[in-house]
Amino acid sequence: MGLKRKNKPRVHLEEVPLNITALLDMMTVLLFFLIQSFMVSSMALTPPAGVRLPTSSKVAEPEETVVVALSAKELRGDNKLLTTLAEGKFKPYEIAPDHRTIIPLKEFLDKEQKKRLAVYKGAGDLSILPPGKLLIQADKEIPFGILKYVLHTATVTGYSDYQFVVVSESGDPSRAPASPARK
Amino acid sequence: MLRKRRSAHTIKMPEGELNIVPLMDVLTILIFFLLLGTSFASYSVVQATPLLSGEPSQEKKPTFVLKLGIERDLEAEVWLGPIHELKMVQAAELKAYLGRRFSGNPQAGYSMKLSARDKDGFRRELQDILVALKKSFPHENKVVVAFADKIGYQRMIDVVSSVRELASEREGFVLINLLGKQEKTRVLFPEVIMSEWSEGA
Repeated sequence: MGLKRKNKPRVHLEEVPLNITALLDMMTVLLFFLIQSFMVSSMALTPPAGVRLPTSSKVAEPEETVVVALSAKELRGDNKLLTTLAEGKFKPYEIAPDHRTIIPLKEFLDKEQKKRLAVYKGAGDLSILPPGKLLIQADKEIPFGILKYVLHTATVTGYSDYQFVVVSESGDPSRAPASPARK
Repeated sequence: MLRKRRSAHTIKMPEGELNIVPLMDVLTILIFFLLLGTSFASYSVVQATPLLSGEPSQEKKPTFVLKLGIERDLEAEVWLGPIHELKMVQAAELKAYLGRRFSGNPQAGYSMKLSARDKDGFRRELQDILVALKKSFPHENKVVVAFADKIGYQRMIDVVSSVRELASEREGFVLINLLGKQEKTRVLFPEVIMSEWSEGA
């Protein structure tokens, strides 16, 4: 029953200094790379939960402006919750009598438009300013029939330059090439 | 002139090892936070503008009108407005093409229905039509795209992207501009005006 534990002979290893130069080199390069990528994509475009962005092969750089995110459950403006959707539709009492304008979104965009125009105060006729740009992050399953309320509200508040945020096709894991069909 | 050479005093610095452990700590923590905050997905944007109503122009000026109606997935209706008074290049080729694929005439305009079995086929066929039109109207950039309520957002983005520029797997096409110069391009109709589909509009 009793197992005899043999005494192992102790091995004395030589003390060798750990060379961490290569590790430091690598970490410094990684640090520079990360800081650079931070500076290039200064705008936070990561969509909120519940928003799966569509894909596109076209690449155009987004500009920093107001962001509106629409999922099947909620509508956000600059990441602040504006309203929730009931069964994928806007609540009737939050739609203006024109049957097109989303009241909470209009209030939010009006405030943003005032901030934007305040910059040009005293610069002359503001009506000749180009329309405001609006970054739109919508879930790829959202039907146009729901999205059109957002687009209409954006237009009536002066944001008629739509910038639909998409994921570049090369960067989307769901579009990885399918495995070959079995014969 | 004898120069006295002073014997330089050698200053002995205290011998000591450089302690880089705190530096390593800071670097590691910094990298960790940067990795957490960095998004590796590459985002880009697809641009479009709305169709705005306004006072009709009093000026009787021939205008290029190209409309796409997307009522169902993988189906499209293409309308080309009257072209008889418009500036165009390769007019004979265009008229022959329109005669083959479209119904209509130069005074009233042309229309055709497009349908495909899959997404790639739809994009290819749509872009073939747009390339043929762009070759005759190289100076025109606007297209109106009307979507029905049930069209999904991904399909909407696909159509908007397709009418703006050739798909990445396709080679550019050669067109002759109004000055008679040849140029190779991938750009189709980059100014997309979005609208709502309504039957008969």
